[in-house]
Amino acid sequence: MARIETLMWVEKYRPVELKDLVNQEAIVERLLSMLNSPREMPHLLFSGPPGTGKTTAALCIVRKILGESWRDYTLELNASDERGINIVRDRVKTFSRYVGIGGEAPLRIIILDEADEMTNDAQTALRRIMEESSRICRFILVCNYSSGIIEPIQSRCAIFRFLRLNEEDVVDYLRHICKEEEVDFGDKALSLIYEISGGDLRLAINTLQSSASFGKVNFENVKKTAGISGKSEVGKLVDLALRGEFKQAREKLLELMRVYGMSERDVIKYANEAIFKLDLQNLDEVAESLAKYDYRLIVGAQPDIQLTAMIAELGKIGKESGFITKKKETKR
Amino acid sequence: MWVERYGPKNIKDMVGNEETRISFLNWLKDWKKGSKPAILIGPPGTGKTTLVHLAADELGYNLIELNASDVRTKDKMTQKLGPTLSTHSLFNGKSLIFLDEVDGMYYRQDRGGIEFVQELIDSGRVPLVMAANIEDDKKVIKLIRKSKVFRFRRVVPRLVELYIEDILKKDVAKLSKESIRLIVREAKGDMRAAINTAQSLAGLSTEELSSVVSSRNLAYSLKESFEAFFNADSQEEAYKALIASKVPPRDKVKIAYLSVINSGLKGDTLIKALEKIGEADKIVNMIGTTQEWRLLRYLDRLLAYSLFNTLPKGSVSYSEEDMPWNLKVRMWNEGKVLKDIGGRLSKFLHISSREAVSIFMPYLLVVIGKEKKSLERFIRLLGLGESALKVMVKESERVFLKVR
Repeated sequence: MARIETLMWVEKYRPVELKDLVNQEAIVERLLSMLNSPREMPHLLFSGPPGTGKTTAALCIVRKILGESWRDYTLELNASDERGINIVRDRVKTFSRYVGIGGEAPLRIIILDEADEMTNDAQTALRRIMEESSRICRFILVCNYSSGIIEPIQSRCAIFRFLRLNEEDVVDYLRHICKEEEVDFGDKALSLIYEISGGDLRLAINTLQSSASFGKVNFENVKKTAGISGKSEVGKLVDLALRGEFKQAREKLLELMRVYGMSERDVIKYANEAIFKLDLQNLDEVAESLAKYDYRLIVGAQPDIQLTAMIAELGKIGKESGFITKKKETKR
Repeated sequence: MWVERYGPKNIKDMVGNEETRISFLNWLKDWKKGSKPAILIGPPGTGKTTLVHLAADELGYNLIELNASDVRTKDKMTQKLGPTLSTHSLFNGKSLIFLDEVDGMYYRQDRGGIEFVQELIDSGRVPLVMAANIEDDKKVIKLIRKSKVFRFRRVVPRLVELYIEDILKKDVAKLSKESIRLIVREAKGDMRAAINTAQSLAGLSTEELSSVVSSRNLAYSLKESFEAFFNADSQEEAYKALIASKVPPRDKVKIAYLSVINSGLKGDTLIKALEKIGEADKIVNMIGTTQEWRLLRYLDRLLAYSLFNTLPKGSVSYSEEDMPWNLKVRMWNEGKVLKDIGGRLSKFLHISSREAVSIFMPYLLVVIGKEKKSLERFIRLLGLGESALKVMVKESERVFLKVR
């Protein structure tokens, strides 16, 4: 365990060159042609589902343009840790103007991950900075949905839409890692990992590595690790809520938010992923309820009030859909 | 803006921090070449900037100010301050350099700015005054060492009250005792905030005001007024009880919420009550973001009427129990440490620190394995200590329970 970067396979096997990116050929080709003259490169906006290589592509570009000392000329920020205007005023503005002036690097690059989490104020402030600093500074904005980025910023960027990875690509990559690491694996197990990950390569690799830590990557070991991430904790929360276990569901909510620091937006995002894995007749009502309270998170002052209200409402919907009896049947 | 119109016009009109004001004035009077610079430290709205401006005025200094809105690189500062510093300057009258918000200077952004300030300090040619909100900031600590420090405290409620009453006496507006109390409570010792709130309340009609601020003078305790609220016999009674509680809007909604949560309600009653409380919470947010205090009148009526119509009389009793004690303990003991761990992890893994903790960490723990030695080594790699290790060991146990 010499270094953290090599301990986890997600980092160890993160491609360092664009050409090694998994199945985003069209994007890679366009990017490579731009990189021929980096100074003329526009700002970039990468959108797409999680685990499709957006951040990796950004890091590859940075390495390519800035070379060995890329860390000195790159600012990497994650908007979901701080969403407000301050992140732009303080860190982005500072960096875009003053870092490394007179140095040898042709450009300074700011990677803004989860940029769609930024508030509108922050994005508006960002827009000015993008213009003012364009002589020496490039932005690479990374997000899940480009619709979460205000129009003026979109129009200042070249937009690249990353595609969800298909089973073949993910399984191939996992197989490659298994061989490198000399781990026993079964094809059925790799397919199951794909199914669990939903095409998210990062999640797939994490699942692969944790299964491998139990000896080999077989069906049983993959199943073992399927329920450990925070996402499945939100799944449990939804399950409790739909079964009308109001008190327990609320305690789960408080645990996730106050102990593990999950944001209210993430809770509702993962809840939304979880409900579509459920076999429910009135899924539309569940989705409607989630949408209602997602909106209320924006316009309300105290998130746990809104999410608690949602939990109560889900209990009613679950009852009407016969969610409880269905659960019992499957258990038998 | 009332803040400008009714702000103090000379030093003796200022309120709070009287000793600090006097000693600062003496510092400036006694200043001679080579004297230490001054640094004023204290929360916003306690009069730092105002004092410097008024003092410069009263002692006939020409004030040259740089604040956070200016770029403060070495070049820019030299450009602006150069003439003052040069001995051959034409206005060789008395100048005072004021660097406001020095805690807002950045090593990177304001390139060379800090060093420039250091030079200024060392040169001691003109009086230099700095101001900052916090003092546990590296740069500020450095400056403090070389300066005479003047500390400002939050203005005590009674003085805030007197000042506001004074403004009102100038015939601007009439506000009731209760309104003034609200202003003072909301300001928390920030005079600027107090004056701003006063201005926003003064814009309301008498009738609006009376629904915003209770005009009744019932000395109910919090518990009593909420019990009266939940046991009211009519909408109007519920409304009055709520107003009598005299709690800030945000807390009002929160207490209603926690009381409902902890009273074991079920089914539609619970859903409806929470939904209405959620509506009230939206209003709280609107007031917070727009400073439109008039919206408060809807808050009380909405809460009172909707909860009266939803909750059977006496079905809810007052509670401020936020979360079960075992979770509370975990939040205190583990929450902060987990945040630290997440912050470190995010740097290596190119993900947010929240995601590092809630999504990624379980996998990491499985990969590291159950052995305490491996966990120890890992924590050391992260550069964290004993408390982080303890939490990781616990988390590791939790994760391995899930995979069994």
